[in-house]
Amino acid sequence: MTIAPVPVDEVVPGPRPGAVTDEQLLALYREMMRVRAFEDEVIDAFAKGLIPGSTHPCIGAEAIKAGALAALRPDDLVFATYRGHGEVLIKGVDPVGTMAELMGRATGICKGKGGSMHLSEPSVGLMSTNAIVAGHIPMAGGAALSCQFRGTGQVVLCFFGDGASCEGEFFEAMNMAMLWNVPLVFICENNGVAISVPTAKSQATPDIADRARGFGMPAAIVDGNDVLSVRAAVSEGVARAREGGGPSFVECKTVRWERHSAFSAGGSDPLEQRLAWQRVDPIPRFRKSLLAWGIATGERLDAVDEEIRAVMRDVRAEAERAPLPGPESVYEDVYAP
Amino acid sequence: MTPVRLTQLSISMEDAMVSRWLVGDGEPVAAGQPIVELETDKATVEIEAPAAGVLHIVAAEGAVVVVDGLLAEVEPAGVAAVPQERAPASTAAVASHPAAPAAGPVAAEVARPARSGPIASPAARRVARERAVELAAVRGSGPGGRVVVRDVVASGSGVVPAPAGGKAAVSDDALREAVVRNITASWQQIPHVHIGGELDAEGLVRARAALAGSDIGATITDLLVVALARALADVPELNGWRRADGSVERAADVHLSLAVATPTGVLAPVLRNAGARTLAEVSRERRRLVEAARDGSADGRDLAGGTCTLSNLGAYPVDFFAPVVSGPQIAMIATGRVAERVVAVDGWVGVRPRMWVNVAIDHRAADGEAGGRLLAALERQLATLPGGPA
Amino acid sequence: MSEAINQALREALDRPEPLMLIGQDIGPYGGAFGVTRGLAEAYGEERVRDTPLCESATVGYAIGLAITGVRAVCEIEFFDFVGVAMDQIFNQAAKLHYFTGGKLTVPLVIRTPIVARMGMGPQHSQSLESWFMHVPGIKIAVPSNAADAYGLLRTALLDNNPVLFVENVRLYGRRGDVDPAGDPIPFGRARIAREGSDVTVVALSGMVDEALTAAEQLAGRGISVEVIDPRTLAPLDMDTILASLRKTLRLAVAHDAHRTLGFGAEIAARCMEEAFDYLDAPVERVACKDVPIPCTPSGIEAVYPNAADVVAAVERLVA
Repeated sequence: MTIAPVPVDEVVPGPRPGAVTDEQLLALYREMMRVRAFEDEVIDAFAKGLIPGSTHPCIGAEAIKAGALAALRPDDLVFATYRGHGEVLIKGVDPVGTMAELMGRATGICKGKGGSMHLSEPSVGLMSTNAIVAGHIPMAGGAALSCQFRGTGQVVLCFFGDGASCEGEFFEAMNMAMLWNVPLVFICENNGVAISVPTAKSQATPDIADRARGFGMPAAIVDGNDVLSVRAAVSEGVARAREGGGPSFVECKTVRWERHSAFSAGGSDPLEQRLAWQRVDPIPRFRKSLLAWGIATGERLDAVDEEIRAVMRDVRAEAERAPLPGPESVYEDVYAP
Repeated sequence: MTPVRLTQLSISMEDAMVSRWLVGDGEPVAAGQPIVELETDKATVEIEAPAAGVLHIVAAEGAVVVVDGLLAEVEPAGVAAVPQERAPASTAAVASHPAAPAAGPVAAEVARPARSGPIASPAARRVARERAVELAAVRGSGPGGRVVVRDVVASGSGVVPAPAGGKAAVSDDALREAVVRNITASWQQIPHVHIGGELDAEGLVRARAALAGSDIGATITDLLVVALARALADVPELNGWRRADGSVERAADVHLSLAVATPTGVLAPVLRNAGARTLAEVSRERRRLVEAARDGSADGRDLAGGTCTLSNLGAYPVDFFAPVVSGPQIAMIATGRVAERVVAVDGWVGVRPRMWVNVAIDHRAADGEAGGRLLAALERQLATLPGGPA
Repeated sequence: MSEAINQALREALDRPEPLMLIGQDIGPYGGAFGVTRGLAEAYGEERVRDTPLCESATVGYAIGLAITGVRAVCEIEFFDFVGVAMDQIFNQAAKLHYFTGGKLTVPLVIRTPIVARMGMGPQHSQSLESWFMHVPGIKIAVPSNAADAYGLLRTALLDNNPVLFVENVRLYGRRGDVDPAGDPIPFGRARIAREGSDVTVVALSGMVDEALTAAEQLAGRGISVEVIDPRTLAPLDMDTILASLRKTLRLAVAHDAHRTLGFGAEIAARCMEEAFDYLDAPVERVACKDVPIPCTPSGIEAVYPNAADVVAAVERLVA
């Protein structure tokens, strides 16, 4: 890899960036922490059998989600993968409804029909997460085309992983996006492994961004565990798109937490993997910078952590109390009226 | 496999009827264990298992087996049961028909599991239910002998009340066509054997005379119905139907079809439970059926379900005729006129009333011998007809 | 028929509601079979847009348009190419409304023609509509004449669901009257193409005309055949079909798709389930043989069904 996440204890915080306020910095931290706390509850709930099927926590990728989404306007649109709880929460979807959806409850944001992999709240611009790898990428392209067609000035972010970058649809969508100059930013989370196959065995070239460059698309590669780097690169892409400059590609290098999904078995020793990502955990890394820049004290940040965890504990408890949908509900929403 | 064959138990013995199996099919038997009761011309005898093993019954109860014929097989214990195709229990041919092999359906048909009812399309079954038509009595003209709706409608031929929204009542032409179709199929498909004899009609004449003064308007036909119904009780193999798959279904009761000439053709309304009715009842019912047939008001229930047919042409100078069996029935009895004949009585010339009776039989389902037995039984019944109302 | 389709598209493009047509060659070229002729000129290439050769992303982009307020019509040039776009059709378009609990709506029409009997070989000849009957969430329209093509497409262009609109190259040139002043044809309403009383024949797309030809022949022999064109497979008008079966007691299905698991298989199962007591004979299926469709004319003759096969099926039904 040309770039890799820097281990936390090797990080030397640079000068405090000027174009970002204290509130924005703290907001970034809070969003990352919210996702972390939510996902920790999800993992625990899954282990206790409260979440049916499978779920794909995005622990370790919080910086990518928070950094990218910080570049958006509220009416911009987001398409994400089945590892998309982070995008969902940060885009502004109700966490209780989200947790209830994971638990298959009637009060879930998709009435329990979609579960962890099929989340949607178009009212806040979270169009859809998707269970088919790369399945959502052409849809994101079409949504961007729609924004252009309707002249709304909206921009679309499309999140996906390194696995998706080998699917045919990915290339097709990039080609069409460049052809039609649509307002779309591709955000590729390259954590070095698909389900079990490492990128060294599946990618002909190490940098996925090169593929975008092959279509003439502006592309950047960043340390995905540095929330501010992500934010900067995505903001540039969003600005370009909004001005009618067409699509951009941001490849975020990162390291995967443990296993592909809470359901997956097999693979290398989970402990070894956990140590690997803990070494580059984006949240303590950002905390280090915040402390260094005097944005907050350690105690303050601890209090923030505790407050957020308490909120997420309540979120989970409330979702657990929600009822399951009745069996007749399976016949609803097959067709739109 | 050890065969269990019928041994000649007496000099005059030619066959025996399987009266009762003492061990069930598939059950284990010990060597020497009595396994079956047979009725010969002389007595009831028991047969013992020739070896130990599992019993596989070949001849069912009621079957008549010739000497040396196969009654059963004993499979040695410990041998894995191999399903074998064999002829099912059926009435075996008696020595009087040496050319004919043991009658019974072909082995291939045996492999089929027991069917509950005739082969009929679902729609035909429904129509039969709606019109109270006995499906087993309907001949099938569909592929493979399948009973289809038109067969059910034709068997209940006549002016049938149309079900709501269903097909319209059958026209005269359709009726004629249905009759022709049935007759043609019967003629083409049924191998007939005719067993005829001139029976003594003294009892019949006497009974008729005794009724002359009563208010029961019983005719020769009515008396024949009563006598025949009782006779058929002794020869049940001629009272029933042969289905398309070759199996024979014996009817529990006698429902006698009576051939009636009508302006549109011969109809055969059914006098149900003939054997259980008194003469007066038979007479009343016969009159009702004949009228209904002639004026076209006979319905499905009146026209279907017959187990055997009586055709009486005795009103005409007809002695003998060979009718066409009305499939799927197995037999039709044709009676000619009662007439005084010169006969030999105790070595001298005498004059007695006589009547020719012909039993037409579907030879696939029964043999001429059964016809002979029916004639014998009928003659007995005619002789003992009551001299007054029954 | 192709003009009728063109006309319905024009009427939709004339409406103020945002609408975009995308697909290979549909722009200035006018479509592989000329169905979209003149539309790009009249409405602009932004709205009648050629795509690169990538069926999957084409359908995906169309879905993206549809879920963000731009009704989309995308064309898959030959029905046989639908395989390349399958995930977008059956996993995405058909299911988005359902798994988002109704939050996303997909007003999308996917137009594609059956290119049967043209001698183009196994990969350019198939009728695959029954595959999509198996997927809940997608509607399927199969017009057999110009009037139905017009009426059904008008309905599809007002429907808020994904609709697979199955055309037929052999029928594109068939002329028929079209009534712009009439109502659009609702989905789930079969058409009785010919009334009869002895046998019911349910026929699809190109086989409707064959069934009518067979019916005419059989009428001369005193056999009265009722021909029913279901027009839409999802929703499917079983009521009309079953009412006909209850009248005739005998039914055959005729379609260009392969026999195994073609549309006829579903009809046979439903007749058995819902009208068992009205079957006087087993359901007959007149269909393409279960082999890949060859190029050679003699092969085409051998594998595809025609009026004579419908006649033979009816004869077996009345035997």
